[in-house]
Amino acid sequence: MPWNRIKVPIKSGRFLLQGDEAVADGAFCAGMRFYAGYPITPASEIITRVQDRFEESNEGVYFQGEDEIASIAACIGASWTGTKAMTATSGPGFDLMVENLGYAIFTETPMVIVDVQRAGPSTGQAARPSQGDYHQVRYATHGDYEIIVLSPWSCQELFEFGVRAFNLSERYRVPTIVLTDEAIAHLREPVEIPEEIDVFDREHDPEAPPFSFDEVDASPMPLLGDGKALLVTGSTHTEWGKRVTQDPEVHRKIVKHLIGKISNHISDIFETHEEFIEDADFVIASYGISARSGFEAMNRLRKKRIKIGFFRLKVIWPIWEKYIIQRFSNVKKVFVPEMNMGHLSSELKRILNCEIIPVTELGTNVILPEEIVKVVEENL
Amino acid sequence: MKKRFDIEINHDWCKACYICVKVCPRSVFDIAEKESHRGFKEVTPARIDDCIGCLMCENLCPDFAIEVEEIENAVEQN
Amino acid sequence: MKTYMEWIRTEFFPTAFCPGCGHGIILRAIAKACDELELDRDNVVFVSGIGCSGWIPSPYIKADSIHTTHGRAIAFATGVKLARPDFTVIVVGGDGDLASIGGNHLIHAARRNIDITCIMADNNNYGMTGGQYSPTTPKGSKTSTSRKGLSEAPFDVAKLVKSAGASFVARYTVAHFPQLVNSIKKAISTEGFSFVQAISTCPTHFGRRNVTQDPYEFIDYLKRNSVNIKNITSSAESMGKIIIGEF
Repeated sequence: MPWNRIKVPIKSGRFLLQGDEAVADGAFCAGMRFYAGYPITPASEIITRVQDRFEESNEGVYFQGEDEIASIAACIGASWTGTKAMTATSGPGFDLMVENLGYAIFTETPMVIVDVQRAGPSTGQAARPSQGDYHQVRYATHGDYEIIVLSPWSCQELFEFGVRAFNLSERYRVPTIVLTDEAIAHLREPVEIPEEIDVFDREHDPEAPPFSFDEVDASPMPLLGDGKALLVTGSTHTEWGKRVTQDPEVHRKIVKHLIGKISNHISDIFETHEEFIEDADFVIASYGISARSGFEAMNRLRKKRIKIGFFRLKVIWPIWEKYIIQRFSNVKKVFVPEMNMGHLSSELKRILNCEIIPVTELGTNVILPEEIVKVVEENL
Repeated sequence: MKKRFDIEINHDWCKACYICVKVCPRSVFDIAEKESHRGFKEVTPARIDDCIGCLMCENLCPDFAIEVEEIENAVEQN
Repeated sequence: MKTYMEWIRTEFFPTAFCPGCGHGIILRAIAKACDELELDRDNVVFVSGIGCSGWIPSPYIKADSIHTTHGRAIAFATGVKLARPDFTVIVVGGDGDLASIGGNHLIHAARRNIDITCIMADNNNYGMTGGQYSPTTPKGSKTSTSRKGLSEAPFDVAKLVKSAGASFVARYTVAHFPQLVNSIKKAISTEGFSFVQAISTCPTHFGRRNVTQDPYEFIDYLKRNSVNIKNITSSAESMGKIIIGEF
């Protein structure tokens, strides 16, 4: 069976970990044994931790690419040998990875990318947090596709999402992104490493075609070295990897597969953290670092007997519209704190009919609970 | 003791670039006067007895359309 | 049927190459080298990029192949080789693919001297997109993006890769078929990064504008215009010539 309950290969217990370390440990526990990356603030601590884990276990290979393009490419190459692979970067490096991210999507290559957001555009502010990559991680590369993006709000979740990202990536044969930010990545918090975790290993079938036209689910994956003369290509292809570059029907089929294998399983993928939604007239909706302040703001406002709820997206992509519409059916106003000019806000404006009020902060400081409380109170 | 060769041409793969015709040191090949159903003037090994088996035509054929094989028993018969 | 044909996916023939394109000759040279080395086909992985050269292994070589993004083949191959050091990993790319957009990956693979074989099918221009100039297009050449003659100087890619640290570097043309096969065999057998610059013919674009549109005349030109590095006694002898041999 692809699902296995395994004993974690590191010491379990409670440890004070930096976010970057936690995600590296989570990935290692999930079976990541190939890492390629290029130095970049604020993600550089990840390769350091990965090295520690690989060296102490005498397992795994890490590689410092000549750039981010090479790093993600090496991960894709390694993944086709059956090795769980990861890279980590920040905005400027993610920009460079986009080309091969598209390749990984089209070739249905499982792999994990950690994007530790910093303030952009361009070099921006390297050591300051941001949530400006919200849309970039979804719409980075050209063409139509679905992708999975997880958004942790704590070091504990960075560990857990390190595991979950690999599980989803292996399950759905899609590159999966852990979208965090400088504030959590450089934060130190107690992290509970469990004794056992559930791990999904891709369904390896040497006889299977490398690709699929199935509209509802991912397909098993053959590997390099299976002796089947695999054809893997980022051009439009048949199930057997034959390039078909002039046939609209084949292209439609393959793109529908890329979308269907994820959209049909959105209830398995999508995950939220909700408080007091049932009786809420107002909701603070957020994700990542800003949700921490949003949570505290909700508590303060609740003490003032304001009927406000809390809605946190643990998975920001794919976004489950039907579910959100249903959960927000009685909500009058939604406050959306985020460290950008209003990315989730714009999504919620698209999905919901109620009033959406952005609480934005740009690129320097984490939004404080009192700032959110103030905006809420002004708009009740 | 002259070696003899068999030259097989795959007309489905040939694109009529005529490298074989021009590279052959013994002018073994002829080009047809009329076009085939694929629109090519096909190559034929018209003077196959002149072939010395140098493999220039086979090795330089970009389309794997020529195969030169030595006829093994031919040496003894001569 | 010749035994090297076991390395060829004839089900995709005739090939997508233009009539007289030298890339088919390079395809044969690679298949012949693999066959003569008696490589275990199940442990050989070919990695290619974008452009005419990408078609050489993918789909025409019957072994595992990853047809990647433009210029990135070496980077993908690095991941494969690091994860599975027991695999024989062979990159096939073009001059634009490996020396222009992928130039950084090429020199860094040579610097690391990772055990990958890299074959550059060099047709002196971007054939697939209409014959634009590449980093190996000789100065003065007419291409679709240098109509009055190219003012830029080309890379000597073999020397570049050698000085970056590759274990084995050779350059031959498709007109030197046995030498080309031998150099590919040596490249695969050599530990560390090995690089074979295989000068190819593009009668459709580069040839038509600069040498000849006739496939055979083009091959003959390569033969006549090449000089072996071992036979060069003065720089005057190699002026304007293609220097072939092992570097």
